[in-house]
Amino acid sequence: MKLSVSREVAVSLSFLLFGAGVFYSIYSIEVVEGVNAIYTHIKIVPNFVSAVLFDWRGFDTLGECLILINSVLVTGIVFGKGLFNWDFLKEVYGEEKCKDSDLGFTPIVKVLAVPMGVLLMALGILVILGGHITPGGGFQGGALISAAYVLAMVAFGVRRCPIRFTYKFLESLESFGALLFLILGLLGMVLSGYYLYNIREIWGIPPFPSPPGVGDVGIIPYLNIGVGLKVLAGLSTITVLLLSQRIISKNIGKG
Amino acid sequence: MNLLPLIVVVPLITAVVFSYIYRSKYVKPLTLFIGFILLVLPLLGTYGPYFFGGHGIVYIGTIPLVSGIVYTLNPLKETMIFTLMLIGSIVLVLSTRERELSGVFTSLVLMGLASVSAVILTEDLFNLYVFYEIAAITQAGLVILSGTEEAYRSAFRYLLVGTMAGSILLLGVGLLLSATGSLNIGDMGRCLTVNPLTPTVYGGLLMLIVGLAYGGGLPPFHTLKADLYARAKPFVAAILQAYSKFILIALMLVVLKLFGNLPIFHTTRGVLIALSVFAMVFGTVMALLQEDYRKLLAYHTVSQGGYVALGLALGTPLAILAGIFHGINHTLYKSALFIGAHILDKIKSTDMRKVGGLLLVTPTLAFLILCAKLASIGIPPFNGFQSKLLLAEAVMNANMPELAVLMLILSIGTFLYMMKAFYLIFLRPCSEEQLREFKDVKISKYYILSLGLLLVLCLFLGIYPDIVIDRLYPVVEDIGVKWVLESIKNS
Repeated sequence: MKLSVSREVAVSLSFLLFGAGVFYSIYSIEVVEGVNAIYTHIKIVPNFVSAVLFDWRGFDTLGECLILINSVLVTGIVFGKGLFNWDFLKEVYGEEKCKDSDLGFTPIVKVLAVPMGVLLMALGILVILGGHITPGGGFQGGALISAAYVLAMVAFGVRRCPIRFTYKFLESLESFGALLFLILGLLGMVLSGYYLYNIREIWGIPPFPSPPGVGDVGIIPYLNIGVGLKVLAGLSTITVLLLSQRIISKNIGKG
Repeated sequence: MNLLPLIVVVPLITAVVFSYIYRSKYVKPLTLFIGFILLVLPLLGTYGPYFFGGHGIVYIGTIPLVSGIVYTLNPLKETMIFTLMLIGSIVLVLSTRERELSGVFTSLVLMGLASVSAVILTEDLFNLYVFYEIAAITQAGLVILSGTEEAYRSAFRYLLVGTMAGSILLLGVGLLLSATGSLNIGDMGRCLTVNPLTPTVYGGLLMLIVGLAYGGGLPPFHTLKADLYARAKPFVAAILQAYSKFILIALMLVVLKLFGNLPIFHTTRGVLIALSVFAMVFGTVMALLQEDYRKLLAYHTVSQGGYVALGLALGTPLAILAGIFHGINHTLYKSALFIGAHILDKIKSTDMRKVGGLLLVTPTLAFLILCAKLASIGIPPFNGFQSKLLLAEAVMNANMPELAVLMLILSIGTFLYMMKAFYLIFLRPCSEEQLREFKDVKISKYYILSLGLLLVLCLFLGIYPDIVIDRLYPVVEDIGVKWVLESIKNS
């Protein structure tokens, strides 16, 4: 008892000290413009955030995508994908009946979920494709589409979900999105010697047809599409894993 | 054409492919194939900077600033990446002997190799953070793959603390960005030396050190790391320890490059030395108490991490050289020890109370493990001796003889528990019946061969350490902190 009290005191003291340090350093922040001056003065595409994300610092965006891919992979592993030994998971899931049940929402939710889902998906596609011109991009659009999917899943349950993405399909979509990004980077390397080089034209033809006045957008829309596919598939895969027990029982070799 | 990015990109592409085809029957041959490809990768790059996306240096007024992401390759980074890829290759080849191997394991190992090499190569603080995070998630995933309840527990604990430590590191990167206006480590360092220091910079430094302690397994996160190594399958632990050792070295070098020439480094150095001494002492003391061979090795890894951090924290060129050289050596012999533990796990169990008398069963294995243990204790002619000697010399040169005494005492502790483990596993008498049971287990030639390869390398580096030292020294001399040397000369 005595030990735990002193431990709590120590924890709260260190928390307080550390928190005070963090707040003091954030409070006295003075932002130096530095390299941002270049980012805001050289126009690449109309959306400056997209320009920083996909052109100046494209490799970071690739890394962020891979964080998501890796997290989805590890989530799959937690639920039994490719383990060396399934004894523990069999112990946990062995007793229960592995049937995916309808969560039983009221008809009001179900009726509203379908048009909302369609709207969200359309908006998501718009946000992905217009990422280089208007606010948004692959991450946001992908998250919108997967939100539509999650909405339908929650309202209707796994088996009667009107949007029928299978687990395998989502996996392929995710790998395809990531590979698209990685291989477009390699293409830049082949053509110019720099990885993720923003190719403005190949033999005089711009890689992405865009209306006049937008400028040479290069491969940014394709990168956006790759990221969009990957994010939508990644977030949806995690939802499927959390909702569906069938995949776990399949992984541990029961179903 | 400079093919430097392929060091990172090839493992990433193959990782994505392997995670897609994880159930295919071709996973084993492909894993073997990619294991050999990895050895070629470090040779692809040419020395010097590499600008991603073709965004080079731009001038604002007269100040040159790097506008995009830069990777640089030098002999130091090349040696580190070669060691990392060698361990990765050995682990991938060994994994094909596992019955339950799936593409998921290969994918995670490749993802980790790519991210750690990116952390080593990068000159960009945010890029470093991104790949650091991938490495953290990968390590948790690799531990969960062993599938036991303890593995799940320790991996979740690691991830939970990791979200906190990762966010703190990100916040630190943000604060430093706001103070300097750049993310390129060289530019930031130059900006920090010119401008007066603000509390924002101090906050950034503090958070960078928190991230470093988490990624490299220094206190207060050392127990998490030790738990992680002990719960993973031992041959997986071999690659896990390589990851954290190189992340530790890379982040320490970042701290040195950013803050080495500032007056605040005096305090920082004290804090880092204290952290590493604590890791050394704690690791050794805890390892003395263990009954399980895996846990013993895990705590030994923590204590050796302390040695590496100590060298880098001292800040003199010789000490940095000794730290990095010890890191490379430790990765080699520790992988050998973990692979030995894996064989032990195959034979019976890594619990030292349940095995004994294995000298009669596998004399070759006993000899190889004895050699690895001698290397880890620091006995000539193995590489551990050379780097510990160099470290002791550096500590004496830096005017801290008390640390050399501590290192000696800890080496005796290391000798004690390593020899205790050797006695319990290989020499302790046990019944005929048990020996027959042990003899029935067939050990794959792959394991013995890879152990042999690692030990030949250890022996080679022990006899000709100059091959590595001569490559590293010119690079390290630039990073070394000038004022530390001057203050030693004056005193």
